[in-house]
Amino acid sequence: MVTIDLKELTKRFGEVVACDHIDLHINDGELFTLLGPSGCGKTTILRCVAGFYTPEEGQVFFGETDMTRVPPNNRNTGMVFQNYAIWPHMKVFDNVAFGLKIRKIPKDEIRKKVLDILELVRLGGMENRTPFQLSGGQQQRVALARALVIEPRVLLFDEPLSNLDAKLRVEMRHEIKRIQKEFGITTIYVTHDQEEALSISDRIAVMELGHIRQVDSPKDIYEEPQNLFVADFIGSCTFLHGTITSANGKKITIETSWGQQLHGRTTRNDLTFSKGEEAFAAIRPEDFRVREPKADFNKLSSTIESLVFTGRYYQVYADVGGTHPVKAELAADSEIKVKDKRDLFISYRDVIILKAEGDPFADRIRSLLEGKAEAD
Amino acid sequence: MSDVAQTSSRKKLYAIVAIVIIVGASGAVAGWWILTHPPGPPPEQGITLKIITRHDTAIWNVFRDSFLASDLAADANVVALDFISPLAPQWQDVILNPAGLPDVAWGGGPTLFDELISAGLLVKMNGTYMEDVIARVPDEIAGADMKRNDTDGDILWCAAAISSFGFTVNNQTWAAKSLPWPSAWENLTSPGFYHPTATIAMGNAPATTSNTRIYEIIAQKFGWDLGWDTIVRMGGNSKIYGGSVQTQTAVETGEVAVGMTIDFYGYTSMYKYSFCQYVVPQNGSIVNGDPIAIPVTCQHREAAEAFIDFVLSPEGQSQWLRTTINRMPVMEEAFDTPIGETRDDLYTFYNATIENIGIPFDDNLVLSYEWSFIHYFESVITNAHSALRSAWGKLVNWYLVDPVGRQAQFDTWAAQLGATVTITDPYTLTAEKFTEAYAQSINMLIRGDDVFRESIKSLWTSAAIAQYNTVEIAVPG
Amino acid sequence: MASILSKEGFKLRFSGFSNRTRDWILSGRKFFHFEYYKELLHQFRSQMGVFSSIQLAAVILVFIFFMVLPLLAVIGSAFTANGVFSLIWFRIIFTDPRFWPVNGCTGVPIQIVGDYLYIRGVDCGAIINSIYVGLSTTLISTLIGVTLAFFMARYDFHGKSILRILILVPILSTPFVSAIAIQKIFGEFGMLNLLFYDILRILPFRVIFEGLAAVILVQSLHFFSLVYLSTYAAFLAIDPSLEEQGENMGAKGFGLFRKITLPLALPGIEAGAILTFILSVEDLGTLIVFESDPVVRRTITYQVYSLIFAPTGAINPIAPALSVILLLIAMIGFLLIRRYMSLRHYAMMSKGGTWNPRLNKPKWWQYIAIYGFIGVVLFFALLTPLGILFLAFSTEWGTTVIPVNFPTVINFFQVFTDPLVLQSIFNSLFYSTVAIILIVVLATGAAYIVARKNLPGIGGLDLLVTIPIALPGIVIAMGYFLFFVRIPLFASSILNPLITAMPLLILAFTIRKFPFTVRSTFAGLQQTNVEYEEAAENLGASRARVFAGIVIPLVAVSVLSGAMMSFVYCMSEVSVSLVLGGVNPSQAPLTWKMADILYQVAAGSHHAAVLGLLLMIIQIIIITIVNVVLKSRTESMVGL
Repeated sequence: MVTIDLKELTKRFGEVVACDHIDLHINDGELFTLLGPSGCGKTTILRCVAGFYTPEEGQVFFGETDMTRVPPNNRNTGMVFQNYAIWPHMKVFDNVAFGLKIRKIPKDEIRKKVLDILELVRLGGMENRTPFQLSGGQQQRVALARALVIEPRVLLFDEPLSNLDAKLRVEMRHEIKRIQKEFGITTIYVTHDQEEALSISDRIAVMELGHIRQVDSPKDIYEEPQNLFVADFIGSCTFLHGTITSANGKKITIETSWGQQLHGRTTRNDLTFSKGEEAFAAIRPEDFRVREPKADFNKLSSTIESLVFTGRYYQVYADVGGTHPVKAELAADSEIKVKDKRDLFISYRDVIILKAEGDPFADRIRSLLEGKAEAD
Repeated sequence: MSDVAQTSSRKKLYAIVAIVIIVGASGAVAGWWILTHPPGPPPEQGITLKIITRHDTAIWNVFRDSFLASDLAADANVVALDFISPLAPQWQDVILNPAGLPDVAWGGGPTLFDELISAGLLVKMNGTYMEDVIARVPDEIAGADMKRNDTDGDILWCAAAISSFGFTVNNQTWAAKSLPWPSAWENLTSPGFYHPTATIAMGNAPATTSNTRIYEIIAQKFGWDLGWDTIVRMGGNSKIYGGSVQTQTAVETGEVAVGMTIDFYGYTSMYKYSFCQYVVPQNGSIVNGDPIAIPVTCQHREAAEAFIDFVLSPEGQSQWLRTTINRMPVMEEAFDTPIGETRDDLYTFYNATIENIGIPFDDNLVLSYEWSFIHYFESVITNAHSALRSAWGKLVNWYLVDPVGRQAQFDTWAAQLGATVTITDPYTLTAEKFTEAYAQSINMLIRGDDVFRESIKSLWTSAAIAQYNTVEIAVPG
Repeated sequence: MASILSKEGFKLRFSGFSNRTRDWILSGRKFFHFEYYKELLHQFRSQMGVFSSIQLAAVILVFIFFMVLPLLAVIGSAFTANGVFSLIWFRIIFTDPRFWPVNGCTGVPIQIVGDYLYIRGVDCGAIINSIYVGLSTTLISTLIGVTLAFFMARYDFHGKSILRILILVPILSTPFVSAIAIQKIFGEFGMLNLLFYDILRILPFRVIFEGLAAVILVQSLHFFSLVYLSTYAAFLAIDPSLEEQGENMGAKGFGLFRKITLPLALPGIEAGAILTFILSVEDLGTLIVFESDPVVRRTITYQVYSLIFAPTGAINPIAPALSVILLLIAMIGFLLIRRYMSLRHYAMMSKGGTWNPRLNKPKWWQYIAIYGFIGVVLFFALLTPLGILFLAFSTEWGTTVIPVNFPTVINFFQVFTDPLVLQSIFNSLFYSTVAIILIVVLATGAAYIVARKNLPGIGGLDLLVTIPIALPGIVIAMGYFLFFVRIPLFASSILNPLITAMPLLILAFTIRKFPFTVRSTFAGLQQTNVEYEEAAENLGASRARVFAGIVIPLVAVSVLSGAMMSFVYCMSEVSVSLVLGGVNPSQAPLTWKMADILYQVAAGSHHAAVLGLLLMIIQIIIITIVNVVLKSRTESMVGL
């Protein structure tokens, strides 16, 4: 049980900077997730913490101790790999017992610990099976057991559920969360699956191209994106491009190129917004309404371009002006058809205004809206 | 990789590995014991005589058994013989190495032993004992020296066996190709021996001292220029091999019809295979003595002399006559022994060999141009062989259409083909034809100067190819 | 991915070839910068622990003392003349028509004269000859090997288990006697011509294979097994879902093979091909079989063997100079394949299920094609071993199809009454066994370092441990002799072959046959995911423990099969055995004894054939054991 600190952690592969001057503090007993698309550097950071990479610059601290140059077998971390890495030439028992044997724990104690942990991960009775006799989910649990049984200071998960089917994934992530809470081990969890991240993490760091874009609790990540990348990556925002017409504390208004006014708010405390600056409005599809609500709502006139009924809601693409349709999720009992002209309503609170200047992701959003890039 | 199969065969894998390790380990232990406990009495009880030789292991075994059982060995307190047989170029290093130091040098041909003399590695075989022993051996047989003296007249090596050269014929191949019968060396130049798959096996000069001797003797018998002409024509009819064993094998497998072979290979083939026949060439005996000598590193002089005494005694000489060895003794008295009396067949050959008027042969003359000779051969025959075969073949085919009418022209062209070549000497830069005098003048350069040798060989080959091509173009058809 | 057989695929692979070559050459400038060495040190310290460093040091030391230094003893003279540095030897070589076609190429490949059909090949000087023989052999071996591998990997038919062993018999090399057997089989009045021309009158000609065509034929029939092995492994390792995907998209039959299967198996095919190329260019045995043909003598390896000794007994510098050229050719071939071949990491990990190999039952016409092809190939490939069998069990073989007094066991009695024979058999077994133990210990370390460590210059280590198969045997043998006999330092040590030849022979075998184990272990490691090791490290295992407890068991199959190949080749090693055997006959290996028997007057080829047969039987036993253990897993025998 330990805190982890990363200071200016930088790892390069030739010309490529996999993670760039990363600073992070992870609390004792926390389940901390690194979330991002492939290539963002999350696995690199994890492996630096595990000790498989030595960073070019920066340090890794467990508590007060500098672990940067300590070899991986001396760090007392427990890692669960994406492909489980269950040794095919050993039985389940031996797989799990491996770390204990190295620590020279007496044999009967090993036996007890292994059987106990297997019970815990609901693999009781399977200790004599070989890995080929196990399903994917079972193998994953063996990997988990193996990492836990050594009582590590830190648990590391490298996309452990990505090879499982959807239902199993949901089930397993709750198991992991439960066990982690029970043992209280500081955990770093790497995934590209946001739903997974949002559902189990204490805190999430969203990463892109070697940089951390935002660190927050799941709720704040979702509801208060601090920049365009996070807004785009988490959930599926729809964006509207415009210029700022007024800025009053946290309330910002922008106007699009076709004259649509949008009142919204900013999630940032540290930026100033001036009139005439380029900005984007980020709106979650599920926040659009079709029925006229109370006050403090923006109104957008739209033409329904396409409409898919998913059972729970209508997925709608609507033309509100501009080059790119907005994506909306409307109530299942809305009576709409394609080519309808309907007004869409969105509350001021649900419009997040993000400045273009200083945001590296702005070009991408711009291209997206101009139809050059593919929608996520 | 399917891991199911891996696991299921894993147990088998471990089992096999365990077995292999156990077998290997016990084998290793057994082996170590065998290797450190060689058969025979422990050396501390007597002298182990170390002999460096080019003879094969069958000869070692026979002479070892018979010598160690003899009184000579007992008197000299020799209890074991230790044979080593490095390759000829390794001999000097092995002799001088602190772990080498042989007591006797035995077998390997006159050339090898003459090289040892030039390197100063042989000592005089003098003293009354040795001189009496050596006196039993004739000074020459069929014109060839059986002993080598130094400038003081002391003997440095003495022949312990003789070999002669002749033809081994594979009757099946010979009959299948309707060839003339090889009764003399000159026959091999006959156009009748030409066939697109050549019919004669010759050894490449640098690779075989025995075949080289044949060529040298031909050069002396016919004179330098005509001798080379003869060799070239033979080359036109032949395939070239890398050693005397290979020429023998070529005859035995039927690859060629006639091979230039050593006598003991020849008549052994004859006894082993019903379709092989050894022919002693008429008026063409070429005899070689196979030496025995005492190296400068000899540690046990008396024991060495006892061994030489045995080898040059009738009993020792008769060992050559065993059916597993089949060699010619240097002393006729070998045939008067119990073993000798069973080998009338060899006695017949022996007589044919020594009675055949030998070609007068000047050993010292050969020594004066030996290296040039060998490497010229390789350059214009072996390394230009494709061109030679092609030109000779075309010439012969043209000739055989009308042998009588075309004889004169054939002779002219053949002479052109067989003439020694002229090149520009790489050092003096003057044009030089390969005459006997020139060969002598560059002999030591060829031997000792690698750059000179390889350069001039290259020039010879190119000149020869050009010469053969010229003739080939001139022949119509 | 465009298929290698298509034009686009070809262009894609070699586009940028010249650019990449230029970049690669320019990257050599780095050796002159200090930062390169600093970086090297940093990488070294971060990736190599104590254990790996020990492994690396052991391999490098062994190779320096028992390959590099003895080699330099011989090769040094290639660069000197009259005591000073000189490239004159190379100038001589490149101006001599023997080695370089200064006057162009000569010869007619195929010719009919009377009722003889001559198949020869052309003569372009030794250097070009060696290269084109190597390429031709590689091409033919690859075609045969890939086809065979495809049949064995994708079709299910009767007789496969016997076939698995039979296909490997051609690899067995039997020195000396194979020459005689080949002559009796393929010669002018040999078995085939007698059968098909004289007796059955099927062919209108007497077929004479001569010159380099004969060499290519015999080598191809020998080496196709190597390509087969590595290709077979590659086919088996292809994830079936990839092929199913292709079928799903409409590709089938030959189209599927060409577009999906073949490209995925390419690394295996190329591995076998490059091994074949190097072995073919270095091969001396086959050249000696046909040495009576002047064009066959015009090959680099034969010339090295023929020219190595100067009249004084010293090394003739032109031979090492030729060896350098040979080495360069092999190195270039090797490096080209390594650099431009897409070295994909085919690391497959089981995702909790097995996959079923895709085996089809052939249709009737496919049956005919399969049996026909295999029948023809095996017929020709097994003729030489058959010939050796005939020789061993007869005392005379004239121009008859089968020897007249076949079978008789008299040769066996005569051979085995010589105590040195048993001694030499035992010697060979002992040396080979110790050698493979050494090989396994060192090669697993070397392969691991090359496969897992990303150090700059790691390719150099890879080259070092693979290059022994490209060295002409006679060169390395003479190197050992000159280095350990002449240098006074070793005169009283156990490395002096005159005192005991055992250590040197064992080490020579180790070095010379090292590459087979290294390459197969390397292939095995490539197919093993590195996460297995990381998981162990993560749980606290030291590098040594990871190596012994995780890596070795996982690649044991590859190591074992590579070791068996090394063993088989150790048993039939010739050059060092001949050079050192005579110096210490009671410790000489089996091959020395075979040569000795051949020279013996009263013995000869039939007796030597007995030993040849024995050698083959020992090798077959080893291979059969491997097959039993590995079943269908002989794939990992060869790999790059």
